[in-house]
Amino acid sequence: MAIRPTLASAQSSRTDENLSQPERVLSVAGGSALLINGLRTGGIGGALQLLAGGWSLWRGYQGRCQLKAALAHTPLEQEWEAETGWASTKLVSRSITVNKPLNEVIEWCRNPANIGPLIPWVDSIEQVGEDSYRWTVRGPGERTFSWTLIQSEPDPGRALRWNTPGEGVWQHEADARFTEAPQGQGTEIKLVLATEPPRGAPGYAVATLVSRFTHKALLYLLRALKQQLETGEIATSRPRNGERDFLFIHPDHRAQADEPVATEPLEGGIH
Amino acid sequence: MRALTWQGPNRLQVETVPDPILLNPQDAIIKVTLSSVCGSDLHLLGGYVPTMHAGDILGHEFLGEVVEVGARVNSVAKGDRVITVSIIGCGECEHCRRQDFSCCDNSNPNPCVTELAYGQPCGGIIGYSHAFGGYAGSHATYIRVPYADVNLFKVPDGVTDEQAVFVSDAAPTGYFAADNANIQPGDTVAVWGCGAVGQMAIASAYLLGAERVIAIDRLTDRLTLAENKVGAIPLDYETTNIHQALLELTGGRGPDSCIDCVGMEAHGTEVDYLYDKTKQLMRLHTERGTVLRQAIRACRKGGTVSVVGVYGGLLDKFPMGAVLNKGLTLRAGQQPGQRYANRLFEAIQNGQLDPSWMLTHPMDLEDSAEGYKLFKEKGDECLRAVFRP
Repeated sequence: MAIRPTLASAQSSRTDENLSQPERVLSVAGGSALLINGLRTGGIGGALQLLAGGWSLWRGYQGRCQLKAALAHTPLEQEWEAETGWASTKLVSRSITVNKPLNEVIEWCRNPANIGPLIPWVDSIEQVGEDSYRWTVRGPGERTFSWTLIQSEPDPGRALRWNTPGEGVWQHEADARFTEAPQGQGTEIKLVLATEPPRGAPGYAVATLVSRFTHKALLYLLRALKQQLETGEIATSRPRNGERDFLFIHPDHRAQADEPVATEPLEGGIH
Repeated sequence: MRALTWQGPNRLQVETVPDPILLNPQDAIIKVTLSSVCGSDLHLLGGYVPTMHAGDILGHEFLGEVVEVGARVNSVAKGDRVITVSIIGCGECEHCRRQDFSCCDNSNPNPCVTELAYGQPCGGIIGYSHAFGGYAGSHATYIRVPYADVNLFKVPDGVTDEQAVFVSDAAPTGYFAADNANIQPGDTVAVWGCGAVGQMAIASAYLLGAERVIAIDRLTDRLTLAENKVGAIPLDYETTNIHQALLELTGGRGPDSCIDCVGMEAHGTEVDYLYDKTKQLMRLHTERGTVLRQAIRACRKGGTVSVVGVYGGLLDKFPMGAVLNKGLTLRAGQQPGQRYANRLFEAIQNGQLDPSWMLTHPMDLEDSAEGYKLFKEKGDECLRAVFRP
């Protein structure tokens, strides 16, 4: 029998009531007040109050709030919090199948010098300890940021992990799981990025917004990884190499592992 | 170098742009000899395919000479006369290994648009918008081709430039349409659209064993070509009730296979065309589905509908009830020409196929904007305008 995993894409149930009794009372009372005031005020302002009041009344009556549901931690995030003790967690996940054997794929991924060049805004990766690497990335406005990541192999030959050390304010972790794809299609990689946003619900809301960008960045990262492993080069349609684009509107993979014919010197990799 | 660039809906301009260079070890640079217009370019030209940027070079069906190759290119060398399959394959992903090159996982450097629109990122296409990779097109003096070993094919001796250029796109698209249509010896096949792809689909259907092919269009000159050049029974939809005619020609059964070589900008005479056109003008949907609806309705029970006409987005009033209740098979796709190029060259060499007559309007690249106008407006019986840079 197949095991049912907890999926990163699973949200909290939409049929559950997610408002407490006081929240429901407050929502009904506030909604009623807005409705009455909207009727008394009239005009566009009154109409807006009628809409807001109606929504609040309906929300209180149903006991369910879509906005609150959207900000609820997913089942996988709750599992993660239980395992790690993190106060809050935002997870982003993507999967890809690479048409190469598992041992070849994980061996390649073990080397940060291979991964770094796939991410356009990584400036350098410096080894600072036996399993520690300092990643320096360039953000908007040419500002640079650095993190130290510890690389480990929690399930040897099957999983890789990169995590921030210690008890810092904003913990990060990346977990990559490698499994054989069915019917000889190579290796499935499931990458989960986890962060511990500070400042409770507002911090989680900000992390949720940022995760949309991260999800897109993961698409480009995993596609580039697949291209590099399968074809030995990274597809590009740019007239010239070497331009930067932080927002991935036009992804630029400046470094090629296999003797590129590029117009600018390679960057990234371990220095 | 000189190139024909898209500047906005229905605005083209020949201008001077930088020469392409090798960017990856599997790239090749081709000096373009002949570069053809294609019906699918008209969707770009009209602004129906989003993610076009001003300055993008059009063109994806071409023939040329290799002038430079990357370090990992082995199958072609400087001086070779080659065609390029317009849909780019990498040769290494699971789809390419299965010969489904047009589903390539690796050739599109901009995967997010098609992932959002279609659920998974689609392969790259030369000169066909940034959604399909943003590759510069072939209406230019030079073009860069990625994964040259997979996508370039040397033109064999005995095949002329005018024949070979269509093995880049129109001929394999037509052949793919017929191959997908599950044609059995003795079958009757109906083909909608008598442009170059439709003409090649008709010829390919005969190559694959069809007994009769019925060609449907409204342009008399194209119907005449379909009858005289590739042996189809022509039907003019402006003067004929197509559904009734197809039943009449097949003893009431309907064609065994129906092939849509028209796509999202179909014309028609029935009320659904006016409905589609109105919604399209109001930007409420992207496709005009007259041909697809006709094909599904006409196809015999248990038959196959094969689609190579380009659709880009959402189609309204799709007759799923007919597909289900008649047990139809619906197959579609961009052409994996790498699968067919050598087979088509052989057919040309042994006289079974000659696409050269489709080149009705050879023109200089400097006149290419005019060439597109002629092609779009179907003026001067233009089937294919082909540019010489």
